[in-house]
Amino acid sequence: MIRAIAPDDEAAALRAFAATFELDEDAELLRPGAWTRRYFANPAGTRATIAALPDGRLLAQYAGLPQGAWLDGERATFTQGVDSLAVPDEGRGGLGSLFVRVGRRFAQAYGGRRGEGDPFMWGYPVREAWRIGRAALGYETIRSQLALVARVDALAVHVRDEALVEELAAFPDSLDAWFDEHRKRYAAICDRTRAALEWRYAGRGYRFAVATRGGALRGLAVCRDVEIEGARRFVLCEWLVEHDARGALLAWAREAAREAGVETLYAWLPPWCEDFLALQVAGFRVHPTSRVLVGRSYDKRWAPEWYAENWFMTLGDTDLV
Amino acid sequence: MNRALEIRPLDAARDADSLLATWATVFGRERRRAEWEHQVLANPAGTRVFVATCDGRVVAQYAGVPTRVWIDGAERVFTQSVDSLVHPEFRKGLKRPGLFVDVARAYFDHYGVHGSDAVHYGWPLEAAWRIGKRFLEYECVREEVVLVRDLDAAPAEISAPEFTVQEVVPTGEELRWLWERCCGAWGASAIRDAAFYAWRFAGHADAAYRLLGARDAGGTLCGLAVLRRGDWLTPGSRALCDWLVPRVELAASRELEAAVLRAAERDGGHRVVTLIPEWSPHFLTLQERGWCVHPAPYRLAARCFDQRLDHLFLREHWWLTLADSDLA
Repeated sequence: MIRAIAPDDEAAALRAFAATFELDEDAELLRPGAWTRRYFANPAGTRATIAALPDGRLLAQYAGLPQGAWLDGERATFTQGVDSLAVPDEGRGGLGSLFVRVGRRFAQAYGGRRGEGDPFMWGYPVREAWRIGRAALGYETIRSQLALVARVDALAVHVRDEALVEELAAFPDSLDAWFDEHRKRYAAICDRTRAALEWRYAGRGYRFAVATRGGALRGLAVCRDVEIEGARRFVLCEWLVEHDARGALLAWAREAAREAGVETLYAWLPPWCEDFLALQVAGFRVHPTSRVLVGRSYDKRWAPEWYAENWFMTLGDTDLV
Repeated sequence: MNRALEIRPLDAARDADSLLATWATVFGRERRRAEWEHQVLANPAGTRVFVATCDGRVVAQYAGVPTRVWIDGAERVFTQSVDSLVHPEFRKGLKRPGLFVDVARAYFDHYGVHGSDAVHYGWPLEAAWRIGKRFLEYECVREEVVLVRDLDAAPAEISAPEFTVQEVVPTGEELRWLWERCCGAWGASAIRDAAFYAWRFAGHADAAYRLLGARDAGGTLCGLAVLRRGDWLTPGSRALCDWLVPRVELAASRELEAAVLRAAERDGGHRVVTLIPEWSPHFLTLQERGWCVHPAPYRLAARCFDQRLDHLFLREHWWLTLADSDLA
């Protein structure tokens, strides 16, 4: 039976995960409450379709993490495809496979014009999923993902005295009003509201700081040391900053990386945004990654390639860090 | 409109005048016959043009520029789509998807599906991209980025140069040897030989190029750069069109790059722009020398006709520079 996932599918889902992905015992998803948090505590909702037997066994899943977003000035929901699976010897088998049928049902259930469904779904599929998705599920390449990488000792940081940086234990109330102004410079951006960031980062080992000038919020950074693209990096998961606070926030990130004993800072930003060049001037270099950003648009007003040039996104939008 | 159309490969002797007249109507400017003949008829890799005619008049074309490509130990052909057009009279009154698509489908069937071309690619304008994606199986390989070096910060003087860098006219043997030293690290690359360089640069009808070569003390060519004279993309920008330097030749690379920047400055340029695949070590090396990565107004699109090739392969293994385009 193909249907939406339910909270009591947890045990079957985790068994399917273990069978498919050979999860380590200490994998984050296996921690108590993690699965429920991922699928049912997201403030933007739940997006998962499964194929399950009457005895509850899960054979295939197509899932996503929805994000509240702004799309040309109006509210929308974007969904990142994650955790899709087909249990070996059960759900696989080409374009007519159970996996594809589940994926198509997922698209029918959640995709749609803005206001009627999710207008944009996206992700970084592994190579095999890219091929299937391209052939059967409407995936289109949006861009080759590039990374900004800097050796901590090579950073040239110019700190403006007026900007103060404070590392916090919780996201401040002032964030929502600041984001509501900041987001207007982008035609498409997912929420960086307090609620969205709390769900995404709180209690999970991230460090975050804000930059202020004269008491006004000027920037936000969320960082974490993590293994990505084959090396341990200090990742700028979130990087939203005004130009007059960039240096101060970067200096904080550099010190945080040093404290973590990590030699490189790492970020993803769209090539067209101001900070893509500004960070290069500060000492970052642009590297290729193994990832290809793909997407599917469910609203003809915004083709997938439109998002390449208009959607501000960082690694914090993904589930990779 | 219900007029008999014939869709077929170009017959240059019969179609040239009519094609160039339609070209002028569509693009609002004349195309010099010599320039057209050079691009279409003199290409050593062949000709790829389909036309639609009505009462003997060319009313549409889908065209490409083929290139001999070395891939997986064999020679194949990759073809860049260029200069597609439909006469305004034939854009109206036709059922979707229209004459453009009819000609393109015949072209792709002939050269790709039933022909020997492995890949057709290009950097389509937005309207062509939308139609191509919907009807012609265009897919995005990547959104291009370019490396840009501003010339306000001059390159450091090289105190003890190991190479002599000057304008060169490489022999075919030199060119082929240099390319073969490079291409071992590339999964696919247009063959840089005398025929290709003579056609692409020396004989170009509209643009002038400066070939700079780095020779070691024994006179061996260890690196080659091709700089286009005059503005490209924006005022003051000079295009570095080709960069043929084996990855182990770091000193030659440094000295050649410095010479390119000096030459661009002497030509009145304020910056140098180049397109180099992101996976190449040169992409990072040039950044370490002061080049920055900027977005480019180009989307690389491709259609693969060989199932062993796909867009991921092209993205990760195809050595592609401005030399492989008609952009500069």
